[in-house]
Amino acid sequence: MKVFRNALAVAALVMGIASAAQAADMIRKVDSFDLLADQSGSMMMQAPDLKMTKAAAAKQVLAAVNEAIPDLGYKASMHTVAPAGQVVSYGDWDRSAMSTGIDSLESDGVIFGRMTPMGDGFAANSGDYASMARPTAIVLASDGANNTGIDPVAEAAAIYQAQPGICFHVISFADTPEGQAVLDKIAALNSCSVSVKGADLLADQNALNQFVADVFYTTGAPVAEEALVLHGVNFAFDSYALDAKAQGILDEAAAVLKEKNVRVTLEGWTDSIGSDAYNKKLSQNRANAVKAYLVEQGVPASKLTAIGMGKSFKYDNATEEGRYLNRRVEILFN
Amino acid sequence: MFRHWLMAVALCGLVAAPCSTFAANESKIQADLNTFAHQYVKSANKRMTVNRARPQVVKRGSTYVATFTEIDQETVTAQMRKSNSKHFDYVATLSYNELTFESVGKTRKEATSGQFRCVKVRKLTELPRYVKGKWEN
Repeated sequence: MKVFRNALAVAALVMGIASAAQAADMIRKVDSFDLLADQSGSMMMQAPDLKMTKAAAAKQVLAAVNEAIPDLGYKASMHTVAPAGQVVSYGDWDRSAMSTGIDSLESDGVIFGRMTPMGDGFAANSGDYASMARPTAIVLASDGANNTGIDPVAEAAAIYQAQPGICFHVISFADTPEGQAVLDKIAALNSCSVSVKGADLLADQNALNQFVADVFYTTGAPVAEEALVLHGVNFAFDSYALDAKAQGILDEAAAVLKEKNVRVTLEGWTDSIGSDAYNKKLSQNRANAVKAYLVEQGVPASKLTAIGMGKSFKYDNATEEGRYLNRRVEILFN
Repeated sequence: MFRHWLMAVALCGLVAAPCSTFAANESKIQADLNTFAHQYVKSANKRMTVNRARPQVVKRGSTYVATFTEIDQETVTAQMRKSNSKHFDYVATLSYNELTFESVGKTRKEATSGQFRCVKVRKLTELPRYVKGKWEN
């Protein structure tokens, strides 16, 4: 017995060392994630192949995913659709708290009268998504069936348009062609999406590990983000009117954007002088003004999303030079 | 014949001399740009709130994680071209990689004194302008 216990301790130690060594080579692909569980009536129905309800299977898969995510300093939350709600509030990812949240999900609730307003759920949760650190992975576990209300594909597309840096991933428990079609359409909205079958993840630990790797981390060199940073895009005091020099800078930026011809996010940043609310509003209005000017110069509006980020603390706000560097527009190539 | 030769010389005087002056000016402006780019990047690194000398340390579960960001000066390139804008004569493409490093340790001290590895790369481009005889950004 003692030998067995010792062997177990050694095995645990080896596994611990192995996982620590693995974590040392891993680099976050996303800074935050949300586990999004479908709790509709159809999910409470039996999946004959799995010998449990689809909701119970989704719980098992989400729990296994939560266990397999390496500790790389993610921020995280958990939501549901049908009904929409927050299960775990956004903050530093705590594996144990997330596990408790997953445990609290229904797995054999009422079936009848519970259609799936998935699009409404996306819309209801999108406010919480707006404040998540980017890039963000939304991991949807659903059967895609019995949709009512807002079209979930259109709503996911709207979130992509309004909130760059988000990516929907799909764990499918679909048992109808219609349900699978809805999930496939959501996955097809963006090439970033990873789409898998829940049953495969339940049956095969390697498939589950691969899904976690594909969504959450990389072991190679970090993926490079690309951005154009503009300083000197000045406005008249307390106004959103671009001065002549700013227009000249944006003329040059417009030439770069037209040449690249890709979707971009315009992030407007301010220095730390003034209240948070004032700077947030100011930065949004100024980002909108920059977008409007670029559109006038022939950059398609559909390729531009303007976001006011508010105060920046990247550079030292105690010096004029630092404040100047903080006042900037970043154009992120998505 | 002599008249043709004289005309050719005169034409060279009109065309070639300004051209060579112009090229010389451009070389000087490009040299100024290179100096400006390196000074700008050095200054930006110095103004970063969280830098190599002052990493940010946060507790993540039972470990401490130290992080800092800096521009990799080896990656700085600056190339100028004539501006299309009436507000400045030249514009430059200043490109560099901004790297974020992370070190994990059991204690705050272990994290800050440990080996930092690159966890994020941002390929950034800026558009400095040549205005009234000097580069600005």
